Amino acid sequence: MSRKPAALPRLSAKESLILDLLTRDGELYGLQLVAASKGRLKRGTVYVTLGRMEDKGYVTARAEDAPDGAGGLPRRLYEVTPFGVRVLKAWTTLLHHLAPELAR
Amino acid sequence: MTIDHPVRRFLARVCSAGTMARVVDPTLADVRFERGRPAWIGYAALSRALAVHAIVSSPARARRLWNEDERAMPKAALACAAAAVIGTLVLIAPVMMGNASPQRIGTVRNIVLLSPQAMVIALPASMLLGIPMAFRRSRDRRRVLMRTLGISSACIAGALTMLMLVPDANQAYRVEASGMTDIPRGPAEWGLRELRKEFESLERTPAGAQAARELRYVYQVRLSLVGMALPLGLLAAAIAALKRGRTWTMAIGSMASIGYIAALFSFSDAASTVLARAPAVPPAAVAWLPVAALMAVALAAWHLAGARAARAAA
Repeated sequence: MSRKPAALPRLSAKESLILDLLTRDGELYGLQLVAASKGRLKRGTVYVTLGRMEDKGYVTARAEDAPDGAGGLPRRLYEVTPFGVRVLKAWTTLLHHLAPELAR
Repeated sequence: MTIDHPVRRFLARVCSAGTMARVVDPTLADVRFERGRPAWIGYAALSRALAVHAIVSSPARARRLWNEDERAMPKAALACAAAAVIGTLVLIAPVMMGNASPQRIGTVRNIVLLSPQAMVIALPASMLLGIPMAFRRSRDRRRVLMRTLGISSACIAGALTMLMLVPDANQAYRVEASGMTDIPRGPAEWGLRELRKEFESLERTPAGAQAARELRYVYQVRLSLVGMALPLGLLAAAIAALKRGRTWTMAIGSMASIGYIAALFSFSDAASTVLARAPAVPPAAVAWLPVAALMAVALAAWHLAGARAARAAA
């Protein structure tokens, strides 16, 4: 009996863009990602996408150092994981071979 | 934006810890770094983030809801449905077997036409059996309460749907039983809108005051029977919180269901007497009294069960 193969990692356009920005710039806050994306990421959805990417193991997050003022909410800094880097490379290579017009 | 901000405090009560850490807090923290921009932009972004998060996470949430507490939710739904069907059959059996039941209507047709009005009572009562049986092993009281409220809401929707079918089902039963097609509809065959129209019209005439009170009572009773699902659900959660064995839970649930239905019919007779003898008593107050009384009992039972669990834990 044939078994269904384990699912290969997939990247949406937004996930690919976030990995690209984090690989290029290192640790970034959500708002910095939105600003760096030049309008392709929205501040209303960026944290949902980042949360899903954390679940998939593409990025890790840590709270920034305690902010000024008692009780202030800390922002989260996001960083790409080695697995995220490998997935981005593989995905970009795959796109270059299969759909070069999408890999731009 | 601080941890004690009212918006954050409210969201912390309704969102999971993961949603707070990953979506709410980072979005609210950004507001702090955007001095000069209107705060509503931050709140609009938060609303959008929560809406997107709700949609994206709904399949996983549905899977979790299905599997948690040894699949308590599907078990509760199945047990409630089974109890509602059995309760409906028990309620309509005397009518079907009695002399009044005409032979010209087939058994299946009889069941179909009599079921809606029995379902209005049996569906909320079924929770007294279904919820304790499914949730008797659950340890998280808050979760049981929230799930019970969800099932109660589903029961309210189901009972309301049945309530809408009752007038036409009653009329069809009368037509088939008598063999005549031109029987005028009575109060039991009127929908809520017709009932309202009728008692409002009667209230405008001096001679129609008492008849209007009776019709107003019928109108309110129909709504209160649907509303019963809320206190019955809470009572069911309290029975589940006692965490007894299957036999004991089934016995107490069955007794509570039978007791509820018996009390409902007894109260109906007493209410007619009160309405006739005490013109100052509003019909709505009489109709909703059982709901209020049952809610008080259910709240007391819920708190007692909580105190018992706390003692056991200590």
